[in-house]
Amino acid sequence: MADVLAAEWLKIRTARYARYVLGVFAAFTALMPLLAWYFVTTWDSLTPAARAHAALGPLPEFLGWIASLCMAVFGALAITSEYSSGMIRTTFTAMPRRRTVFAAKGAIVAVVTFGVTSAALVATLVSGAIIVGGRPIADQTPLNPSGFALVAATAVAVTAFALIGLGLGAVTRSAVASVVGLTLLWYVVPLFSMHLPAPWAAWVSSLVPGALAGELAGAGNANSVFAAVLSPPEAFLVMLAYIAVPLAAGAIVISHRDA
Amino acid sequence: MRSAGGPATIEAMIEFRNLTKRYGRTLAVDSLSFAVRPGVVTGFLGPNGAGKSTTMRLALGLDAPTEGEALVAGCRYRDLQSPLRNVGALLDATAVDGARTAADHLGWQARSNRIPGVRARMLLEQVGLDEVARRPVGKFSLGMKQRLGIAAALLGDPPIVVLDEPVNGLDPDGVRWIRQLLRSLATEGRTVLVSSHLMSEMAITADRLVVIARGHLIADGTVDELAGQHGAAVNVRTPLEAELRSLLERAGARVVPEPNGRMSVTGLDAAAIGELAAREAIPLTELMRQPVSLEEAYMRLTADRSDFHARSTSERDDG
Repeated sequence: MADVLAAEWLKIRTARYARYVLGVFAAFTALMPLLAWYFVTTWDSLTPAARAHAALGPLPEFLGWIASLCMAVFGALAITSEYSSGMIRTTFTAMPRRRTVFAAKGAIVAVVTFGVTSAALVATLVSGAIIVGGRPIADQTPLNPSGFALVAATAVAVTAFALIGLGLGAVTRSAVASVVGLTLLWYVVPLFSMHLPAPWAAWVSSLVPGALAGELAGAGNANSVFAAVLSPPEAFLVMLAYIAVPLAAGAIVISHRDA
Repeated sequence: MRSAGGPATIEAMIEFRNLTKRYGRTLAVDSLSFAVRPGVVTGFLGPNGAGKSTTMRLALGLDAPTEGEALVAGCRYRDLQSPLRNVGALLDATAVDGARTAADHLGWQARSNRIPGVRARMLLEQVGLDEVARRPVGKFSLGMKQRLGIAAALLGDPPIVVLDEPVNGLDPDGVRWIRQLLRSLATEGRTVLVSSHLMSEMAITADRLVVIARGHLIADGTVDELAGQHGAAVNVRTPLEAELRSLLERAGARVVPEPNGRMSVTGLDAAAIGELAAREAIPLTELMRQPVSLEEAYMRLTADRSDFHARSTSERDDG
């Protein structure tokens, strides 16, 4: 396993898709303090009456939403890029124990995603708080333990998204099919579920993966398309299921289908 | 020629036993049995779609056989402990991540099998890529990618080497380089299996030939044996064409009329034809054994199968 991990780590560090996806995410992360700074300079020039109507969404949550898609694509490409180039055959010739390879990919995708996402979210939280300063702007993620808890829960949820991507990639072997599936889960289902009749709307909107970070941190999902019916332990279990099902399906498919 | 395969050489052998692979309703490989031995270059020949690549994927454990088994170094590929130290393979030289450097492409493969990094650097030098080792593979020409693929195949210093169409798309220099390399690998006592759809190439490179068509084994022997068994035709000329023809065909020969009253006979040797003609008092004005090139032998071997191939529809094309 150590050899397979070392090989897969070198692969991920030198892969084209990793540069592109992480580059896009880095660009979005860099945009967050700029967004805060632009809002603050506008806010300062407003009359007190106008200020009451000006709103800046919580930036770490916004970035977490972007990270979910970026990292889900990252996870999917970690396997589909090898199928599309044909390199999967070189991989399985060098490392015939396919489930070990898949597990190593999962571990690396999880560690990279969690590391990159938490660093970006903490940077956004801290820089946002510094830029906003003492201004009474609503909806800001607080720079306190509950703020950091929400950031940590978001990073965990994004990691789950990345592993869902990896599982979908292993099952479909197609980057396009995986990204379509992920986009449905990330964007389309939540948009539809909020319009379902009660009590379905609240339940489905609490069970989609995007809702889980707020529930896991106990922060709720105010001002979003998501609901928060689940308690933190329930949210954690749902998250585990989201990871386990695609990964198990991927592990079965990868060891039984011809490469 | 079958005496070489004692127990001592099993470590370095590839063996197919009744190997069958079906994709849906298409039979890609049909009850294939043959062994590839060390110390010689074995050419694996067949028209496009004959099942060569499928057979190689089965040997490397990439595809699972429907029936039968493929053994490398005495066991199934998936059970090998350090596969790259046992078998080196080049299936598709263009299957690389274009952003990765040549050094990293070999690097991850070396790490996966605990092969020292110095070995990768040595091989890059050996295949002439040491100066571009830090450049992304996406900028490489096909010939450079083939060299990189060869370097990867030799990374673990394996006793068994499997190469799928390694000369495809190479310039004459590259072709000659691969030819010499295969030769020296065999001389070092390695088992070398190299596929091609070009008999002309294999006639120069290989010592033994395994020919398949439509998933069937149709020949397995030395280059000389194949040219002898399946190629040798006898040119015959006689004033009594119709009589001789029916006589020879009754004796089981295949007769193809040629211009100038000549006919080309296969399936009987010159002595047998002369004897038959003498017995029936048919005068022969010419009786000459025609040396047939390996290329023609191959065309004849695969001709019937190709006809069938052209007639059947909805075939999975798989080189």
